[in-house]
Amino acid sequence: MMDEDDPIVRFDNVGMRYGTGPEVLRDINMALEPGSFYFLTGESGAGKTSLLRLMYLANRPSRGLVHVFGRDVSTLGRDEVPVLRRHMGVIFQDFRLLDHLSTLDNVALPLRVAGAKGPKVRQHVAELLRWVGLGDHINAKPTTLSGGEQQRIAIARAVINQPNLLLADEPTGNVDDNIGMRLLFLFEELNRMGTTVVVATHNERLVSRFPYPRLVLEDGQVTKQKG
Amino acid sequence: MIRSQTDIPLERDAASRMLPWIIAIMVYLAALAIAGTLTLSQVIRSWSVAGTGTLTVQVPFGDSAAKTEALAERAASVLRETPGISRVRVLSRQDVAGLVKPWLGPAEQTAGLPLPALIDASVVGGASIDLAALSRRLAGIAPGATVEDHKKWLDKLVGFARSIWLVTLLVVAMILLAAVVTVIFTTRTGLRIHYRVIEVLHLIGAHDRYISRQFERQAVMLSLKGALVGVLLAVLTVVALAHLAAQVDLIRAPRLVFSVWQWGLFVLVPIVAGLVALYTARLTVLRTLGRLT
Ligand SMILES: Nc1ncnc2c1ncn2[C@@H]1O[C@H](COP(=O)(O)OP(=O)(O)OP(=O)(O)O)[C@@H](O)[C@H]1O
Ligand SMILES: [Mg+2]
Repeated sequence: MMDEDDPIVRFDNVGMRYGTGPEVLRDINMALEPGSFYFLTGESGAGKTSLLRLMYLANRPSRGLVHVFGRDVSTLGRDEVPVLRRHMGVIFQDFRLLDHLSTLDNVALPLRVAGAKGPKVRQHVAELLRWVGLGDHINAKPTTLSGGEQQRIAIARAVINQPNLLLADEPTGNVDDNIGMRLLFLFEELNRMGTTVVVATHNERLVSRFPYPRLVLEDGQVTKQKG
Repeated sequence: MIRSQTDIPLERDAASRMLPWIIAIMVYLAALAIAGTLTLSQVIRSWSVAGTGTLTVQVPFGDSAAKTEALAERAASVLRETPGISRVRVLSRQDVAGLVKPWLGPAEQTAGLPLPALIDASVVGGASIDLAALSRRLAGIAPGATVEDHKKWLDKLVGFARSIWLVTLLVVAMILLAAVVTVIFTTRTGLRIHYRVIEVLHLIGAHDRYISRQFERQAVMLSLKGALVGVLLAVLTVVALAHLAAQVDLIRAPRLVFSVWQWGLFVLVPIVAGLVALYTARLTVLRTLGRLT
């Protein structure tokens, strides 16, 4: 799919607007190297979610070029998008869990969508759920759980297939700092095994405890800062 | 596996709950149309088997039964001399009385009635007979004698049966079309209702086919359910009607009404309904999703 040292994500003069609205992102140039870990910060409305949406192919740029896994996203066919997405894990700011499915089934979904089935899936999923502290809620429906618990389901779903790229949008917004640290340790663990991680967050306290570089969004533009 | 539910909760949709009933009604109507037409062509076939290659001459009653019989014998000898005709038989008065029994009552009651005489004749296979000339000759001997050519009448009957089949096919095709439209509507409604769930499935890497499979499974299950109910009701209706018909001697016993392969048609109906639902749902989902980007 791509060369060893090609960036996982590359933006060239990217601008983005919703419909006919103003540009919410403009002139963005950046490259995320394989195996890197970034925090994405900026105040509310700065465009963090929008930037991530470009990366997980939910939106196309209104100008400029976006490359993901070495592929120019403007040339992707409808059948190619799911293939790329199976190498990503996304934690949505609003979780996007399926309320009619159990915790276990929600987390198993990316595996099943990719064609995996059988008792191994269940075992693997249950193990991960125990790890994020949801071992007692395997059969619960998300709506019966707290915001923090739902968030951890969303996280488990994003990491279950050991993605090459993990995009986390406010993954610690609903949990206390203790659990927040624990989740970031999980991301670090994945990062050590090669996953490129981008964590969008407001939580300065958490960010300052880790040595990773930042992408700071301001006025629709990104600047990289050392961690 | 680890779950019984589908990723998309289609089973709760109002349109999904209606689908089996609509399909049941459609299948019931289609099955009845087919059953009615099968019965009709069956009856026509039995007539044509009995009637091919025969000719009936009717000699009207002339003054007395004896004179009528004599006229009939003279007409019969004319027939015997006609090339292409074999096996000529004058029906006895008892035979004729037997034929009219259903309408006029038992022989004792019809003894005094001015019944015509009937002559049965077989036409040699392939022979063509000038029926007009034959009628003229017979009328010269026995005034008022008429020739009935079964073949001509049967040809018309077979043509009629064929047009009934065409109409039936048309009816079944229209029902099929209505079923397709219903499945399209149900599927589109489902796509709209579950837009959010489908979006999530896409975002975690589902192909359109993965999503369409869920709709297909649902549409097939519901259609099969409805089709089975519809066919069952249709079979019950046919059996009940056949029972009634047997009571008035219209047709034979119900289990003889259809042959095995004709009953097989009834099994085919739910299978066709399932397949139609499968492909309609698949194409609807793939086309609708394909239009999004
Ligand atoms: N679907 C949309 N349609 C139109 N405008 C949108 C849409 N989504 C976001 N925006 C606008 O784009 C800008 C950036 O929004 P975005 O959600 O990316 O910010 P954010 O940094 O994620 O904010 P937060 O920290 O509150 O989540 C905002 O001005 C917002 O109003
Ligand atoms: Mg946001």
